[in-house]
Order: sequence, then C-alpha cells, then structure tokens
Amino acid sequence: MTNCGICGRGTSDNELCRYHLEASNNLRVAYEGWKEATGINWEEYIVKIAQIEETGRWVIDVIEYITSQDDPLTKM
Amino acid sequence: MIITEKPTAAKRIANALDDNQSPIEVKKRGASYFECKRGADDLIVVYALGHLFELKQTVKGWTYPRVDTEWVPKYEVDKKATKIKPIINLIRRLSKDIDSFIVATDFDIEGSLIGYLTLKYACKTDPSAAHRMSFSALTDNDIQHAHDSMSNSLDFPMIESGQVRHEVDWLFGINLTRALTLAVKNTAGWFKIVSTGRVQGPTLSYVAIREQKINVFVPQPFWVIQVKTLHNGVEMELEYSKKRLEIETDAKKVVNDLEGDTAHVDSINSRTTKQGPHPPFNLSSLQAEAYRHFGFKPSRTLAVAQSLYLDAIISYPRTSSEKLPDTLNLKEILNGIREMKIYSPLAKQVLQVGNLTPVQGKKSDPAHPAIHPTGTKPTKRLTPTEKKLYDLIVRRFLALFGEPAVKEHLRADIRCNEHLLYLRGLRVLKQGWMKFYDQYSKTEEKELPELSEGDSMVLSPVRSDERYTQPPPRFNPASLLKLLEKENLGTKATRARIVDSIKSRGYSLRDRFELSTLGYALYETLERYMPDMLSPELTRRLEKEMDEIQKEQTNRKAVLTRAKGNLIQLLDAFKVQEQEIGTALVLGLQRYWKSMEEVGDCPKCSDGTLRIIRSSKTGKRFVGCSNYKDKKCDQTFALPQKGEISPLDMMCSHCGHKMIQIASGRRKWETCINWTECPGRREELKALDERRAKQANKKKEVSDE
Repeated sequence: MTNCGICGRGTSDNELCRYHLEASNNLRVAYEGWKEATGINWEEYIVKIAQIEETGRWVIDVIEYITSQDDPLTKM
Repeated sequence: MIITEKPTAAKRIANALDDNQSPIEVKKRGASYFECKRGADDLIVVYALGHLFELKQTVKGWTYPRVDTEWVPKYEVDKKATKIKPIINLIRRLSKDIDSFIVATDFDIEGSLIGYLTLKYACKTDPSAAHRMSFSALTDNDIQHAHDSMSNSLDFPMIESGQVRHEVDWLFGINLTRALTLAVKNTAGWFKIVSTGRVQGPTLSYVAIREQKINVFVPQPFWVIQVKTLHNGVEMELEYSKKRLEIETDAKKVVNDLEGDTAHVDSINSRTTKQGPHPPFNLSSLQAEAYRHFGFKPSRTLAVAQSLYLDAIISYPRTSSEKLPDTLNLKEILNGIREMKIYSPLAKQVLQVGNLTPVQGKKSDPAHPAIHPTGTKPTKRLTPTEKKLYDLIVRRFLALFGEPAVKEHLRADIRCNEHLLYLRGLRVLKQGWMKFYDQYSKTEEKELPELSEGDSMVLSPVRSDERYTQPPPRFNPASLLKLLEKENLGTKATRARIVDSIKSRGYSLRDRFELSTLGYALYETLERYMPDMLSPELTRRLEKEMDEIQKEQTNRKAVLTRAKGNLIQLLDAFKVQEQEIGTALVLGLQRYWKSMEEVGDCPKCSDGTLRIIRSSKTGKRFVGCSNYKDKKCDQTFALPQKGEISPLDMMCSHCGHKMIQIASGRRKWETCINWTECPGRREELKALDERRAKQANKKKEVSDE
C-alpha cells in the first residue's frame, strides 16, 4: 500500500489515488482533442488547461504535480 | 372528539362545524381545545402538534444494534418538546367522557399515523372503532362535507405503511449513525456525530458522484462565429449555421471567408407553434417553480404552502397529483377568486369564456387533487413570501383554462458563398394562457428587422470566439429533490428535509451542493467498506414494500422483519471493519476541520498558516497565524462575529488576501479576511456601519416606547 503523490490517499500500486489517476487519464485523453483542434503542444496545453475556469480541481492538482517533476512528459 | 393535526386546523374545523360558527376555546394548563355544537352532537375538537409520539429503543444504551422499539410521548425522546406533555394530558383527560372519536388529521400517511397513535396512546381507545374525516382543503364547505360523509373506519393499510416507514427509518438512521460515530470515537476518542440514513446515504452518493465528475473534468475547446452587419442603418447580429466549430483553423477560415464579404437574403421562413398551459401544480413542480422564480428552497416552499393550506386558501399541498377532479366546484373557486381585486379581471375572463375544462397533467394521487386555490379570501395579511407563492398558485390555476399560446418563429436564411447564416425573430401572436401566468411565462420577443429576399449586406466585423465545454452542473435544492423523486427515494413529505440534511450535516458547502471534505470522507469510507449504505437499491426496495403495504399486498410485520435482517447483516459487516472505517473517517474529519479553519499562508512571516481562532478570553473569533503560540508572528485579522464562515478558493481582487463566505440566516455575503483594511471594501464597511446605526436607532425607539 502506497500513498497518492498528490493528496496522500491510500493507493494499491499506482503513484496516484484513483481520483487523481482518473483526472490524469482525462487530461491525457483530452490532449488528443486539443491537439487536433489547435495543434497545441503538451507544455502549452497544460499551461492553458490550468488557466481555464472549467477545469476540475483534481486535474489542476495533477498539472501542478507533473509540472513539479523533472520531466513532465515522462510523468504522463 | 375530533382529533386534528395542528391548532390552526382545529380552530378552522371547530369554526366550520359549529352551528353558529362560534366555537368556544377552552384553555387548560398550557393546552386548549374547542367546544362546538352541531345539531344534536356536542363536539370537542382537540389538536396534536404534528407527532405526539415517537419511537424509542426498548433496551437502554447508546450503542448498536438496537432493533426493538416502542412508541412513547415525544417529550421522552426530545427534551425540547415541552409543549407536548400538556396536550397529551388534556386529550387523555377529555377522552374519558367521549362516545365517539373522529380523526380529522391530514389525509395522508403521516396524518393517518398521527391520528392512530393519538387514539391508541393518548385517548387509550380502540382505533378500529374510530371514524375518519377526509378533506383536501380546510374551507367550511369541505370540512362540513367531510364531517357529514365521514368513513366508519380508519385507513389501516395507510397507517401500517406510515408506522413501518418510521420504524425502518429509525432502525437505519439510529443504528448506522451510531456505528459511524462510535467508529470515530473508538479510533480517536472524539465524539462527533457522523450521521447517515436510509435515504441520506444514497442522496450523499448522488452529490459525491456529481462532484467527482466536476473534479476530473477537462474542458475541450470549440469556436463560435460572431457576425455583425448593418442593414438600412440597423446593426444586426447574425448566427452562423454551425453553432460550434471544433477545429480552430476551420473557424479562422470562416472568419477570413466572411469578413467584409457581401451576403444576400436567400429566403425568409416563418412557422407558427402552439403551446398549451402547464399542468396543475403538485408539490414537486410547485417546489421547482418556486425555486426558479423566487429562489425558495423546497423545504421553505413546503412550509409556506402548508401555512396557506392552514389558512384555507389553497388545497392540501403534499400531493403528487397533477389532476383536478370533476367533483371539484371550479366555478365556485373562480367566483371566489373574482372577489379578490388583484385577480378579478383575469377570473372574469375565464368565467366569461365559460369553458371550465382545465388542462390536466399525467400524475395522479388517490388521496388529494393537484394544488389549487380554494377561492376563499385570506383571513390574515399574507407575508411577502406567502403572497408570492399564493400568486404563483392562483395564476397557474387560472392559466389552466387559457387557450394555447401561439408563437411565430421567423428565420431569414442569409447566404454568403458556401456559408449560411441566420437571423431569427420571435413574435407572440396570441398570449392565450400566458396572459394569466403573466410574469412566470415571459417569452422574449425578438423583432425581425425589415428584410426582403434578395437584400444584400456587408458582413463586418466577423470574429471567432474560443469557448470551452462545461462540466456537469452542481445540484441545487430543486434539482436534487427532482432526482430523488425520479429515483423514487423518500416521500413528497420527507424529500425536502433530506435535501436540507446534506447541508446541515456539513456534507456540502454553500448554496450549490459542493461536497465538503467531510462529505468526501464519509462517501469514500462508505463506498470502500460499506457500499450498501450508499446504494439506492436497498431503500428503493423498502419504498416499494411500503407501497405494497398500502395496497395490502404485504404487511408491516413481514417488511419489518426483512428490514431488520438486512440491517443486522450490514451492522455485522460494519463491526468487522470498524477500525479501518474509524481511521478513514478520522483522517477525513481532520481534513475537514483543517479546510474549515485554515485560510492560507501567513503574509507576514511566510512560514506560518492563517487559522480561524476563537479567543478563550472573549469568545470572539479572528484569524491568527499558527506561529503566534511560539511568539514568532503576531499577524491577526478581525472577523465578522455572526454567521457561518467558510473559506473560498479565491483571493481578493483588491488586496490579494483570502476570500471567505459568511452565511447568516438567509443572507450570504463574500468578503476578504482583510475586510476592515481592504481598500476595495470601504463602501461595504460604510454600509455596515450605517446598517448598525439604523438597527441601534430602531432598538432605542422600541425601548423608548
């Protein structure tokens, strides 16, 4: 049993709890739509998403988490 | 003896039944009753105060499981119910000389149960020998008719169903709440009531699931084309035929294609639509409409409607029916409404047309018709809230007789090369029923400018707006209530209270149902260890069984035995995991208290945290730095002393300090923790000072008088 790297909730094998994992998956899946719609790259994308009011709280947590890592791309 | 549900109802019933319409109120030791004469009968009208008796466990001890209960006077379980004792004593004394008992409580499950329990435990008589008056409005005519045609027996299936509902709700509410509370106590030694219940658990899960969807939401972009043009000196905004474009380059191309180009009116189309009146109100549609127009919480609407019912100016509000039966004297009601100055012209119009066939809805209720005005004039001055709700009910009723409204929808198709644009207009050709429903059915008319086919116009400016998809909306009290109704959870009488309980227990924050960290902690814990406590399946099955009792397809004993079996299974499983559940709840509670107390980093010392603190000396609250105890930082901020404070996830746009919301009664306002010094809040402070001075003056005037 490990703890979520963001909120400290218990998690079985993942680095993130199931809520933050779902937010992280959504962030990744939504990137495909954004890339197709705007041609935006990953770094620009996460900066943009973090600024939009409609973005979920856990998604913002994930963005803050991955941008604090050495290589945000590999963390995804 | 006639047993009624409330003092107001007793007075009204006594007045209606007394031959001279002047009953005598006899006051005795903190309670009263009415004496009246009807023909050869001497009637005594007594009242309850809602339920006089409540369930109590037969075996002592604040623990679980406790599955055996008995009915006891309410004051034995609720110390605040001090008015109940004299009422029970009075009924008990009076009952000794009674020949015949009549129950005249509200004709629904709760009313029937109140009557039955009063007969059994206060009058100490055999309920099977009692009579039942049933009515849907407290007008003189309805009451007299109900008395003259009363039934010779009580509705026992309805009573059994009500009894089992109380028993099952008690069993689940008390035992599950104790299980959760004791899990916390046994883990951390704190006594903090953590409540749940048969319907509260599933309701919490709906709120939590919605919150999760909002929290993991990632918006997608889309673009909306905005086109303006000038035609005959009139500026017009055109609508691009595709409401949204998914690709940014496509949107840019459309802008490039259209900007400065000339478009032509291709065709002008018009179609007319007819829209009939809305069906009569039942409780849930009244609650939804009152929330929409006045912002009333469902529980408030119910309370106000109940007060209008007790004043005999509307029919019984706890109804599911959207139908007005043929037996209702609509002409008489309309004649009554005609006597009220404000509605007189509208009622006259309905009566003049003569076709008194109202629109009916689909839902029905065997006990009561849809909510409607009785036509009786209010006997007292209505409060502003009552006035609003009464107006809504009267206008909805009048609208039922109106003709369909006819609307003309106009659309000009404007072409620019391969692009199609629209200009829309809307005209109400015939008001029909909307004239009666007035401000509650406003249609925004939009004139189509003077245009002819072939007209040309230059499109400029043209731009594309980047927008984002929206997360699902949070529940509001009305939408959560509607969901409970759709899912068949709770009853029309209990749903509003359950919706309120989610907030009052601290499981949600602010006006919209934003789940609190405590709500999350409870939801997560139950979902992980005891998912059955959140599942609507168990409670839905119980609701079905309670309905079956009313239809005499099953009985109270069988349903209760099954419910107890289910509960024991749940509690056994709980006990095994009590420690894990307790630990999870304690962590959640710590997070909750932290979120309710902490208001961010200290701006002065930078390594301290600002917290809401209550002074042990003065009892006043303020914001202070966590480093204060170590004498490292003395940063403090004054706080308003009244109302519930909750920190907001935003900073003040004027001074950059944390924002908070203060909820005091029905009033809610937002400010920053630096509100006494904030340059942007001087006006607020000035207004507050003025309000205080005004209040002080008022108090002084009152004391001088």
